[in-house]
Amino acid sequence: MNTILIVDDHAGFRVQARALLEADGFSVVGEAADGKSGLHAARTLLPDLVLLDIGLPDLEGFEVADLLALDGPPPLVVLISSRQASEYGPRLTRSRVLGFIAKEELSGSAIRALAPTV
Amino acid sequence: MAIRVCPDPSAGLCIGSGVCDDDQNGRHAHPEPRCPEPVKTPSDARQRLVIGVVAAIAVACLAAPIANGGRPQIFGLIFICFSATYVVAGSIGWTLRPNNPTGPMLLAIGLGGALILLGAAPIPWIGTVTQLSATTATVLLFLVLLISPAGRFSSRVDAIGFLVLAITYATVVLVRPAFLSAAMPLILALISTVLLLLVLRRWYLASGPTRRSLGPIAAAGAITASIFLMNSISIGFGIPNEPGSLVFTIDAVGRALIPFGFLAGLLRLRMARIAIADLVTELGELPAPERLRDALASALGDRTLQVGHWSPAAGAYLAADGSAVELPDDDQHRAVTRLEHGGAPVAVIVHDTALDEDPGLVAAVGAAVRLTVENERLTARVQTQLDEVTASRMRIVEAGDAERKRVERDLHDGAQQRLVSLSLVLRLARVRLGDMVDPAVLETLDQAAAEAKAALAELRELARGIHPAILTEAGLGPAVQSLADRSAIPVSVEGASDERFAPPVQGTAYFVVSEGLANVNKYAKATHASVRLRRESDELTVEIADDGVGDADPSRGSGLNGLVDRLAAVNGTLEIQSPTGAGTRLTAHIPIPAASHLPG
Repeated sequence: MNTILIVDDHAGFRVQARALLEADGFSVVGEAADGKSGLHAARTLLPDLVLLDIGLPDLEGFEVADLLALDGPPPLVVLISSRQASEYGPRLTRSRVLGFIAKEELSGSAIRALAPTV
Repeated sequence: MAIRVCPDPSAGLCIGSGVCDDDQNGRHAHPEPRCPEPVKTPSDARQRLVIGVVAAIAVACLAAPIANGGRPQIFGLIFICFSATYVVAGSIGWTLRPNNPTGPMLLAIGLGGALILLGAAPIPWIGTVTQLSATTATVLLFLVLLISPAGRFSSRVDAIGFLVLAITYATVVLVRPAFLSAAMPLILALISTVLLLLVLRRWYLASGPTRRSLGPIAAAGAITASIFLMNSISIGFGIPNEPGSLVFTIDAVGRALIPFGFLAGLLRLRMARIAIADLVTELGELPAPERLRDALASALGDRTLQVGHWSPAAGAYLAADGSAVELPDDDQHRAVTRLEHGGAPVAVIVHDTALDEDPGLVAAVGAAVRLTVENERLTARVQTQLDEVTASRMRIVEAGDAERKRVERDLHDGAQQRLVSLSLVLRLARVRLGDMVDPAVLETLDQAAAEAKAALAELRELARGIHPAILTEAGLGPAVQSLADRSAIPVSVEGASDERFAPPVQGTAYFVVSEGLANVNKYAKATHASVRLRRESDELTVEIADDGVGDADPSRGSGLNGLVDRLAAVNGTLEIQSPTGAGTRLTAHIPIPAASHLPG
């Protein structure tokens, strides 16, 4: 129960996040650079948790999370962004995701704090 | 086609009269432009002539009793009245219309009538003179009936008719051929009938202003013809026509009325000019083009009058409804008056040729049109400039907003991402090193991570100052809420929905709240503030109120001027209520352009 999918359009971030999380004991099972491929990867790889960037080039992270929620038992979704949570106002609190982590705060412990089961 | 063009130096605009010909280059040239003549006072020569006529009549009146054996007669008194009415009407007409022959002709008729008084004098040749002058006066009366008020024949029928009448009458009265003596009453009846028909025909065929001035003249013609007819009948049936008889009285009174018909005819056009002058005076506010046309047409009694404004784009004169005004090519009833400005066409008036009879009238019409055209031109220019300024101000604000958004985006995608990466790399280093290294190295790494975090926070603050990402990401309501949340004093927010507006609208509203709350924090010494957003169908109202010291003054550089300018750029307004000691309330009204409402 520690597989993770990283959906983010910045390749440098994906590399660093993967290294950081793997060093922290997680198994990064896949990466996607936009919303559509992220949806496909989530449906095929069935990760325990999806790290989902809000600012994707094709879909917003909020929309990808909503679409994943339609699939049935959804994977746990944690939204990430280089903006702060406050800049999304009520949209963030209303979205059906596990939580939000600012990118610079990303770490294994931050994820475990949100999802103790992962 | 009669075309008028001539310089009007006082106004720098041209108006005038002259026949328009094509010059050698095929362009319209306006040879010898004539200015409308001002209404003249009687010249010395004219005054002398009028005085001479009056003196001659006076002499005739004084001499008549002597000629008749010293007995004044009712016959003489009536002729004095008769002559006097013609002289008075003639000299008024001549004064009003110096270039019109009607006035001098009436004077001449009056003189001829007075000379009849001398007919009884015991001088051998006096009978011939009085008969000649009486006949001339009658022929002149025929002439003036057929040419007034224009002063010229308007058709060949009138000219030929006059010649036939004049020759027939002169022959019957002066030559008196023996073979015609029995038919005299019949011939006089025929003459009067033809005269009546000619006069009525003129009136019937005339239109607009011509008919208006012809009305009284036609009435004078009808009276003249009736008198002739009555006389012919009285001669034919042997009814007495002596001073004191009914026929004689009707004849005298009728003849005395005739000159006033002419005078009324001449005055009709002058009345029109007064109407135009009144119209121009009353046009205090800018008349709409169609209103001007209607007013001119009504004042001049010319329902077919057209006003065209020159359109350089169309290369034609356009009426108020945008249709081209057709200039008559060859029409003796329609005249064209062109108005020019610095040699360039401005407007054109197509009107009845009768208006040409009074140059002052055309000048008045020109002034009215010029006033409107100039007003229109100025108003249009000011409006165009205002529209341009408004549009360009809006564009400047939009361009500024777009540029700020781009800079914020660049910071987000560039420096901010790098600082995020740096933070992750430092954390990764920290994880990989574990506890294997010198704690001092770990401490350095932690310091570096803290610096990166601080740099990121500062950068975010800077980016938010340039353009608040929340406005784009979450809309106006959350953006206003975040402003309230960051305020140093408590701020309550009402009406902060998720509704999205066009960027200029929500950008302006956000700017108003941001500046308003900044002012509250800086100057108001308030303990609480409130922000209220209210959406109406076509307007967003933003209200910022506080419980501070009030007395906010835009002239003291409190940033309120910037708000006013920013609102004006989107056609918005700002109300400031800030009584001393009773808090400040800013109310901004921001129009919502159609279709600018975006889904949330």
